[in-house]
Amino acid sequence: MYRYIIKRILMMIPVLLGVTFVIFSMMYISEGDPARMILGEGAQESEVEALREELGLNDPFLTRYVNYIKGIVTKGDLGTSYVTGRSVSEEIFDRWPTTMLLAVLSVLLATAIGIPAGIISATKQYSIFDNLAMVLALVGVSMPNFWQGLVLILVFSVYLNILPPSGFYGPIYWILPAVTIGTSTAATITRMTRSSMLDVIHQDYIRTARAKGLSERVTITRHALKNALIPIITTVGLQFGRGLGGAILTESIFSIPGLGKLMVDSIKARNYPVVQGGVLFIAIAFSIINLVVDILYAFADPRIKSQYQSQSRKKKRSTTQEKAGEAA
Amino acid sequence: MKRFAQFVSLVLCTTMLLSACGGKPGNPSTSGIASTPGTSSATPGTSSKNELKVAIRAEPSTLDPHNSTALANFAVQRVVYDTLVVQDRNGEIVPGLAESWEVIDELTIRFHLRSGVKFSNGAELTAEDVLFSLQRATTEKGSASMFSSFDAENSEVIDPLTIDIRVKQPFAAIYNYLASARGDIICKSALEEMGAEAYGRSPVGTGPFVLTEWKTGDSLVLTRNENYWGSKPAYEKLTVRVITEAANRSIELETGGVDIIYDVAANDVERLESNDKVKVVSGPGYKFSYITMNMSMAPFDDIRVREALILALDMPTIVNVAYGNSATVADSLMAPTVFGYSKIGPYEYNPERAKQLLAEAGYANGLQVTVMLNEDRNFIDVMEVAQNMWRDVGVETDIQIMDQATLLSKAANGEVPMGVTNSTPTTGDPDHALMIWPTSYKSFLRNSNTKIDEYLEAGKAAYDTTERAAIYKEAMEYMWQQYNLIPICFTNAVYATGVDVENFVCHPGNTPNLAEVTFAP
Repeated sequence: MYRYIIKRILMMIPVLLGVTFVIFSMMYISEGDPARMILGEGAQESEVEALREELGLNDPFLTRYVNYIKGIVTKGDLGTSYVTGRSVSEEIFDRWPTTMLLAVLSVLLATAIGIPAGIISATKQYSIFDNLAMVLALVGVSMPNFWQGLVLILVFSVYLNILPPSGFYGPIYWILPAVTIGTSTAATITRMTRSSMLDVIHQDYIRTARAKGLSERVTITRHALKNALIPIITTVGLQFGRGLGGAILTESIFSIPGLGKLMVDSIKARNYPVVQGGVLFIAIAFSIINLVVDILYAFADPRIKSQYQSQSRKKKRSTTQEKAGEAA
Repeated sequence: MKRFAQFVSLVLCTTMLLSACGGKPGNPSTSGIASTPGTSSATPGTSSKNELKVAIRAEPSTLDPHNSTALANFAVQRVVYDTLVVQDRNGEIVPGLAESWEVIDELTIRFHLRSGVKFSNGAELTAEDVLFSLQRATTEKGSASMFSSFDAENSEVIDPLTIDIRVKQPFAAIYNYLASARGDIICKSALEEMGAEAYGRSPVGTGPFVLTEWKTGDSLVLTRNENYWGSKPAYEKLTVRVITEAANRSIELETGGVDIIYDVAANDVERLESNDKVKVVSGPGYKFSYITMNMSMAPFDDIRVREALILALDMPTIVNVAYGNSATVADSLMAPTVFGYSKIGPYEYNPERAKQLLAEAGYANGLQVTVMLNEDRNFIDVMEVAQNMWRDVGVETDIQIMDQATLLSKAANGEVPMGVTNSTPTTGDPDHALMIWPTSYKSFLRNSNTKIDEYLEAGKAAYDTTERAAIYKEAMEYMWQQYNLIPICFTNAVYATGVDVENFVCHPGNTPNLAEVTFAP
């Protein structure tokens, strides 16, 4: 198991290198000069040129890319923001806790709604509850977040005046953004839980469990749900990963100082170091979430755990054989 | 079903618990009175609130005055720093950190500083700080271009409270530039000790407020400078929140989350005016919006084409559609709030004459033009209406919308045939307002007209205000006849406040003096 985790962590290196290369190339070929953005329309060409030189923007693409990677590997330096002059790590870590909190809250809310609703829908297929839940899930998936956010602000802030329309200062401020993101995520989880549960419920072993006289609750939670969990965990993990990248529109609507908003502002300002650092950070977060999801699979399904273990055993065995062969 | 009911109850309970945990932040009530720093004699302690919350649209990138180019930065700098001289409510230059000044010769002005003025770190203000600030203003990237007429090298400290500031050539706009945000006086010893980056995040100024906390992406918290040399503000704490969406700023004001909002969207004005809990405060601004024609490109090098494109537009209708009541049709080449303004236009709407001119220029069978603009909603609205009006005279328009970074780069490379843009001359001086016109300015317009250059140089050098105003009047009348750009409108500066906010004065350049604000008892 540990070997598997280490292997997965090592596999992240080429992925992250690929991500940095792609984002570096995209920023390189995008139109718009950061130096001109910083100095404004009125700046003389000579001033712009001097700043381009200072920022290293006149260097060839590969020199810039290699210097960037060297900075990260040797000093953990993600560079300096062109706009604020602060280190990119500082800029990201100032915003990240907010984004993390919003992602956790919205996924918790979505899971709390989505999994029970999906289970009930599956166990009571074609009932009124199932139909209603599926209609609501369809609405939840179809409704754009920005529109939903605005409607929530209008209802709860403007008309009822019971919740604040913007900011992220405490629990009361968290409700509207978490609901905005959480409801669409809940809809996805509900649909996934329902279909996954339906697959399992019709299996022979569930019939056997029922025939053995197990209660419906035990049959569903211990036998059906556990076997249906893999796709649900995948969906929750992906949604959480997406949340860590920053909910760009939701953050803008509710004026939440998160990573998504930082990224959008930085792209507009051609603030290359922040965009690159932010994307790298999101890629790392996403890779870690994927790893955690894979590890959770093992807990949900013992077959996967034994698969991980047998893989490492097999590898160990072949290494021993190779060594033995060499020795012979 | 029973379990579902239990689950719903659980969700409801959790929501109620979360609601109970947080309280909507109220405004703590204490007292204070009106005060205008440096000019009024009010004392703190009699206002009904002790915290003023304002919402601006963008986060300042830095509070280093010489590396600032954004209006958002200036809004906060206004209360953190002071300048040698200040523009009062009528645009007149009055004493700031300099209590008096005298003209030594046409290139030298001697400023006498107030004594006993201290920076927020306790250091005393001296002429060395002023000289250091000036030297920095002429060399740092955010201000060097604007302060290029100042001769920092030959400016000198006479004694700790006296400094001679020199300019390279006669420069009538000197006072307006010194009163601008880039003329803020910084503390030499603090900057040298802290470094520029740290100084930009924890500025040391002589202004009425001191920055105490900067919550990145969210807000800046300032507290009253108890050692302020002028009259102290009526309230202790100033919170500047960053709320990007205009609609959200309005809602925050309506729901009591903030006391003052900047940059009210045109479509929110009517709703806010009908709300008896808020007041809309608006007035003429510095902002001038216009459509440029690249003078170095065909067909815009033909004056008949330029005139035709202008005459084909019914500008009052366009402005009404795009801006409603928040702007007025531009009748000159700079806003009425700028010194030297004189009404010249607007151009008449005459599509028949436009067709005739196009035919004379060889475009009787139609003309294709490309207009580039950023994502500004007003600009897009303007172009959608203009596109239809131009079509009526046989001009087809290709509208290309791009982000500001791309647009500026294209403009710098001379690749924008026609563009929609604006300028906000925060100094209120015509030298600043007309900076896009000289041949040396390489951006959207690409003008090359020595007569205009001569006019502008003469206006820059004329110290006598009557003579200066006359030069600019003549210059603009001439420029108006060149049909180099299509004036759209002068946008009002629109703010909104809670009903209990008093002494808030509309500022044309988005930098109202928040230290003067008081609350109704």
